[in-house]
Amino acid sequence: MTEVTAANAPDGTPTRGGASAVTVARVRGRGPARWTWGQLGLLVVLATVVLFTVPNPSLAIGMLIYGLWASGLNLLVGYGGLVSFGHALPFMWGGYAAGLVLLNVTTSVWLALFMAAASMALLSLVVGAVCLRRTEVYFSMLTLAFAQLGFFIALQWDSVTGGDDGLAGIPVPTLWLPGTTLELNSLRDPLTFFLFTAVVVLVTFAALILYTESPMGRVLQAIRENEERARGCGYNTRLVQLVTFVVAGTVAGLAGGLFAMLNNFVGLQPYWLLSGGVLIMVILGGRSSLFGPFLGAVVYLLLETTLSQYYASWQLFVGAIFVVCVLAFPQGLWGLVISARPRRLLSKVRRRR
Amino acid sequence: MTDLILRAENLDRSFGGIHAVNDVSLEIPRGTLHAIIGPNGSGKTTLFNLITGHTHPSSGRVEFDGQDITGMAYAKVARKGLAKSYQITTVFPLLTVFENVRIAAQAAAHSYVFWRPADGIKAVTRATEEVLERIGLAADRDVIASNLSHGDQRRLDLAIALATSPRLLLLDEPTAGMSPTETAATVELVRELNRDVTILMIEHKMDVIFDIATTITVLHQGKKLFEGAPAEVKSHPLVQEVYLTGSL
Repeated sequence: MTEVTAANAPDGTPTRGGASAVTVARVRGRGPARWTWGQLGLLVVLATVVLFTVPNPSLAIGMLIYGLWASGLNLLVGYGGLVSFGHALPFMWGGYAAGLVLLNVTTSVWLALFMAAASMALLSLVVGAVCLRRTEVYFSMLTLAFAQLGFFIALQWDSVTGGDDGLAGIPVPTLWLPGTTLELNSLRDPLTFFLFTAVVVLVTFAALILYTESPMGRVLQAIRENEERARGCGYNTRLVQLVTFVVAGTVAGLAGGLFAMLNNFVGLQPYWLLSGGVLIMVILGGRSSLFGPFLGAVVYLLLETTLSQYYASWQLFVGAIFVVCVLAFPQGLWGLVISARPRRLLSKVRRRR
Repeated sequence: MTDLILRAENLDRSFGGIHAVNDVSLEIPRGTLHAIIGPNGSGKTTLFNLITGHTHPSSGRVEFDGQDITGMAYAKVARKGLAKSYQITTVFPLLTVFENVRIAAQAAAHSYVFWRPADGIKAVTRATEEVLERIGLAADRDVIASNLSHGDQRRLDLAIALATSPRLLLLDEPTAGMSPTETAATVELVRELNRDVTILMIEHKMDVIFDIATTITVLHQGKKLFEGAPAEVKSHPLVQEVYLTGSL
């Protein structure tokens, strides 16, 4: 190394030139795609925008719930490279679990949500242990099979699930907080319901970010890149994938529980379409982050409500938009936004030269 | 008796009618650099796979640091301190160079932690930086692995293996596809690594290992043809015949 390029002055203090070189390296090193905790801020912004712009409160709350569901699924799809075709199962299970607790046990929102998430965690452990015996398309088929199995059980077992009629008349949940008790009535007081949902969603979303940033979440991404090599580092790759499956299932169960409270009803109807719908939200929004699928869910619901007002066959249009999106920008809406930034920066640098 | 890190006894494996590895035994003392040479198809890679647990031996046993690891799953063998670098470059293509090595470096103590950010674990970051420095990839730490040159990807492959702090490093043709300059640099690197880790390596280029190996085993058609110090191997008439004429 010559004297000219040395970063430090002879007395050891960094010179101005050296310091700026370090800063540049660090900025380049972080990379524009590495949004981590910033996603939490983005979510707060998005939730605020939804709160003030979406006129229908039930749709606004639904956006938060579907967003959380899609973000959780992206742990499997984007971070783990495991495409689940059956993510409606945990969502519906969470709905039934919360609904049954509210109907038969207590109206406590905490207990209902806890039961939705905890029972789904247990079920995910069993389902995941079976599905993860295979990878790629075989994994996808197994998840689909389990979702179908769940559908038929819910359909047949009407003494518990209400069968085709669904679980109706779920009572309004009550929210016990230190010092006060609130009614979570989505019709009479949608703002309270929205704020409560937003807090639950934000906390869960933060937990998801932490998971993707943790050593285990990093191993999950390494397994997606090269499972054999991850095994060569000494990792039990199946275990990491199973934990992820359980986390994604638990989050979906939680979202399903919230959704049951929002509607005071759990229905069977668009069941298998939901598995495809949530996957579309993930891919539409972008698989490379947790925020992308959330954005995808909001856009998807916006499209659905707008288009279904004018056309009975609105799904045709959603399908067409989806096809165009996948072909034109496979990195998704959010991927498009963040990849547009460095390109502009690059062109600036080129112009300066 | 010498202190053995690895002992393979009478390993045997056939695929269909092909006897890929035929009654091969190896004894590798701690701290040495043991090389396996032989023409294409002589069973070198299969022998490696028998040691790492990728392939189960038809008969025979493998002992690592006094423990029987015959037929043990690869991940478990890896956790015991046996790391392998691959013949066909095997990295995590869409992760950065730093992340590639960090994944390996965290394996020892922080495998399944999910309640704190990985970037906050200082000891792992330090270990990763040390390995990158040693391998000479420190300047490329933020490059996406698939964008590296072939030679650098092979070095990254080696860095991943090294970052798991192994007690025995298995290198499957570390110089494959490298230019003469890159080869020389890698040979120098292997020699340097051998100062604190035992190495068992397969090599196709004879000149590469004659300078650095402690012991050389010559495989031919699945059988151990000869074993000895580099100078003995070089002058042995059978070895010369195999390498010069390609047959016995």
